[in-house]
Amino acid sequence: MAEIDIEVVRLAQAGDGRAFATLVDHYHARCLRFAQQMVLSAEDAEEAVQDAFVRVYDALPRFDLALRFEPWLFRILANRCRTARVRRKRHDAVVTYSDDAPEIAVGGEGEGVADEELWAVLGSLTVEQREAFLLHHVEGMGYDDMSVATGVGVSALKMRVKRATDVLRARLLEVYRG
Amino acid sequence: MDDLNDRPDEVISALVARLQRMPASEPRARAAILARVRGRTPAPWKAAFYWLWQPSVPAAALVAVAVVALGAGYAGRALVAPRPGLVAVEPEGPALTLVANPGAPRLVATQFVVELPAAASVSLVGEFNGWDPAATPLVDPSGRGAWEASVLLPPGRHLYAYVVNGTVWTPDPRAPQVADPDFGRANSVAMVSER
Amino acid sequence: MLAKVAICAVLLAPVVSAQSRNTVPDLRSIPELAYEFDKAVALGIPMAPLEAKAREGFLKGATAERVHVAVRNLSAKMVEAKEALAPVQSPNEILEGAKALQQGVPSSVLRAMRRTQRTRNLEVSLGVLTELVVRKIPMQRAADEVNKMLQRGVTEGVLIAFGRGVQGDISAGLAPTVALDIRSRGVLSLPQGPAQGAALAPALRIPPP
Repeated sequence: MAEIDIEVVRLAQAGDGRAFATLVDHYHARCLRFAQQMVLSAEDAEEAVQDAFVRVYDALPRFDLALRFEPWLFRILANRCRTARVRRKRHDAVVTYSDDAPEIAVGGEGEGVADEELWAVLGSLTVEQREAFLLHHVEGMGYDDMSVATGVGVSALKMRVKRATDVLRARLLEVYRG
Repeated sequence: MDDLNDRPDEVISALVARLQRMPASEPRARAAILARVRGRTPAPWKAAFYWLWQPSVPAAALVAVAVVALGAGYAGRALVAPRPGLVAVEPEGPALTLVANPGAPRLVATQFVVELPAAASVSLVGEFNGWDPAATPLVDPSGRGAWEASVLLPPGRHLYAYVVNGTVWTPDPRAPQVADPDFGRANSVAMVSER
Repeated sequence: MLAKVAICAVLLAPVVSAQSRNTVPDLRSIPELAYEFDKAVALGIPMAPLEAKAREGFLKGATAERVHVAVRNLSAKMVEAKEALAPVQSPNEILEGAKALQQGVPSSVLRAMRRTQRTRNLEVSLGVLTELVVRKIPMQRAADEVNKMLQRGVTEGVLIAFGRGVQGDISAGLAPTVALDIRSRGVLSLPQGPAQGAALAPALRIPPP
């Protein structure tokens, strides 16, 4: 999915409500995907995405148009996701669930059913590993952009992606072998 | 380490393919976002300030937008500045028509006549009046059911119909009709020109 | 070993349709419509036709959901028309282009018209083309005739009169292609030249490139 025209960002930065609506339109599904896979809860993901866009709106005047928009957007989103996870952990401490992971909603491209193994496998990563893996492999971000999005150095990120890939491969092979 | 990360094997590739599927993005969720930011409009002075720092925007438009923003209750509905390629903007509030084509077409006085002796009221509705039954009522001066109204229309193809007694959708019996795939009620067609 | 995950399919939330039939609600109070309107202007397509489409639907007693679909479809067609008709000469060109696309005229026809008429406002030409197609004239034949006339530089008035003539003949019972032949022969046999343009108001003269 192509990065949005910087002109739309410029207009939104200047206060054009419709340009901002276009920004939301362009990135909403993608942000939702990332948030769902980070917080593993449809409700929390939607809330995180909404909070993220509101933060984007507030912070847009400070955004330097010479920079790329997407790493900046994902930095805000990743922060919201971390906050959501913290809230969920607190919530879980009060209410106990018989199952580990809560309900996941997957609508998208004709699929009405979630892949059980898929979500559980993602949950076996640490937050840092999952974040790095998703940004690199699912969002297709380069390490420099990921560094902007996470505030972490490139070599640390590379280690996290490698570690995440190893863990995931091992879990998936377990699953496939039944 | 680079190589291992950048050449994922089949297992990882399959996982990534599944993860890359987009979730459904509900209009309500997006609308909720917009509703929340509407309550956080930047101060009008701030909007004008940022406009003034956009070097690529023509000066005349800057002044025009700044005036509107400062004077007319800006609330996040700014006008879009003209750019090559961005042609049409429908203004809200104080009229600033930012159309690329400055030459407005000449309007043609067009008379609509329909015989509906049993009607208590007849309205003309069409794209030209936003399908508003209150905009163009017809009159029956003779009282014999010969309803008429005259409107100024630009030359070209126009879709219209009559609304009888406030509710009954009535295409013009004397004009060609066109099916309505959107809502299932046929419209009438008028080809308006100066001759 | 793996935790069981409860799965639920998300159903798209139904569009609110609390207003009575045939009355037009405040369009911006419907989030889905407000969203389409905002998006339209950011995309550089005219918003007024989308509002008009919504009002038309409510006036005709359609549900809010149906109105939303119609508005969304028109918006998409206008985006396509704007792209095909670049550089666009007026907002109404985009709307008429969208209507032509909705009647099955391919965007390649719009593109070709623009290529040969770079500065002429095609609003009227597209309206005439749409009308011909609606009257069951084979699309390519209709496009060819309109293009021939444009290349000859006929005025808007002549084009519309041609369209009205064909329309009238078909209503009177003539076969569509027969009506087309007769009326286009009538137009194309007119003398070319400045005499034609002078008969109409200066505002309708084709601007120089």
